[in-house]
Amino acid sequence: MPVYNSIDNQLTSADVFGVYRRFVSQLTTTATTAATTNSGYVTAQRYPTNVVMPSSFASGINGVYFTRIDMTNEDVSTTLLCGIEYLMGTLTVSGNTFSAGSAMPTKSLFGSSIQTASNIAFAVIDATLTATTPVLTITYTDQDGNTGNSAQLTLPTNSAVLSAFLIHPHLATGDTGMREVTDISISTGSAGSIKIYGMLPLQSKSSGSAGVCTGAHPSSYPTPPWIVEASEKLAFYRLNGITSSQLYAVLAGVANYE
Amino acid sequence: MSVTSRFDIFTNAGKGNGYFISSLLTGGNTTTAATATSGLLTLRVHANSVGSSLPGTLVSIPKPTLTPSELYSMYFSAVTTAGRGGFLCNFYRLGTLNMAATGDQFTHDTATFPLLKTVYGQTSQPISLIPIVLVTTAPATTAPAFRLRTAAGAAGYVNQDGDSIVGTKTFTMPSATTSTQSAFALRLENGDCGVRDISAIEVTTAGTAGAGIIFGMELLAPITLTTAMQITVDSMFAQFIMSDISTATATSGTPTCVFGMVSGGATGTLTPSVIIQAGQGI
Repeated sequence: MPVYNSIDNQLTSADVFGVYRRFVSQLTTTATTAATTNSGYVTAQRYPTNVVMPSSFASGINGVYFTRIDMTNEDVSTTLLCGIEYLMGTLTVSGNTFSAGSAMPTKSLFGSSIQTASNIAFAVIDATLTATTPVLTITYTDQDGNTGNSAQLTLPTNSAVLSAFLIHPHLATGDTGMREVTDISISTGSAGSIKIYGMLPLQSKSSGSAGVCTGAHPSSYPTPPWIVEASEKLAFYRLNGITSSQLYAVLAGVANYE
Repeated sequence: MSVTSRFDIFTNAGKGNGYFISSLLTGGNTTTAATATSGLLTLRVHANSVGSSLPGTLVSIPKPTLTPSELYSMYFSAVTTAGRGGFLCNFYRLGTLNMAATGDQFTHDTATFPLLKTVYGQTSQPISLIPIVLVTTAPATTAPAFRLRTAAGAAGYVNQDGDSIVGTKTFTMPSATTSTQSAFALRLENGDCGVRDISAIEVTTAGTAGAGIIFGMELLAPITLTTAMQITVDSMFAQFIMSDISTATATSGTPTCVFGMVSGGATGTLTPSVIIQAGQGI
């Protein structure tokens, strides 16, 4: 039963299996690097730690549908983003070495299995770069399965660890997502590493006042109702800010037993 | 558009045939309030804070390059640093206006208007825009005044219905020192509600300085901006306003489009943060 189909289903699930809860507090300890129009158009940083789902659930349960995700931090005019994150590839700058990650998964949506593609994707600095305005080239399979397309970003010099650069504005013309990353290379640089993460967003919140945590919740948002499956990872991003930042998040979900 | 239900839009977005973005928009300086001869409603143009250099260089919130009329908003959220009303908006640049000399002072951009979109199932239909002026160089000494016609008395704009119109109403800047970043709706003839194109503007009173950009606004989704609460416009269930946020094509050439936001009602600065998700109707 897709639990997101009705409030009654969610209440029944909560009654039978309980409510799945996670609490998150994590910090970016150093300032990150702002984006430019050549590197994503949107300044972002990634909080360092994933929330990892259990490796298995009780019999009959195939995942969690998060009905509520609250996030807050100390900022004004920043946006916090939570989503299911997939590591699609890694580049080690020294040696220009690519390591493949996973393709975006197939997932059940409204009872049908679909091949997903990144709804949003970031190039995240995993170790601070030593590189002067390097051109990052990402070769990928697009949302429709076309292979060999590429995106190019010119990253700021010596981009700091946990800086996140939005890839989608630099996808090939007509592309809106990536199913798989097949290669990553960089034009120059001697140190650092970059990870490419694809995301299926669950929730985003913006604050107009420090510490305020507002917004509708996944169960009331017109957005794809993703089921978070065993061992999948949730990630948190802060958009529109570069200073160190403290995230607090509370997640609550109900079992899906489709 | 081959979708048969709004769930198809969700599914398309899930497959990656969609769009998800958050952007911090430009704030700016204190502007000058509109008056009865300058559009009545005080406006502010908000573009992407990354890359924009106010007042005149505006960078769009990035969006995918897709066939027009194929990207429908699912929701749109915003919060700001001051309460205001606003619209998600495509700003199409029509041209520039020199307010420091009298006579024909409008220079049209190279793209040929009208802009075209699929409208109510018909492809390549001209769309109507709300014309505004964004002040990029502050006037000096005298408040400039202008009207939508040539100095020789020929038509200055094409209205929402495609009729060529000689503008008779004079727009007067609210002050001889109107601030940069002030934005005002242009004055159209009675009965007109938009323009497909502007071809001429006659400056009848010039300042010793003053310049602006003329934009046509395509309003996409209304939103109330508050400081404390993120407000969300649910485009699919609560309010069925699945706005087509894609960029229109020009009759020829490529229009300059800034995907951003317009706010109205006060002169104080404010900085919106927006979140937009959309899916393709394919």
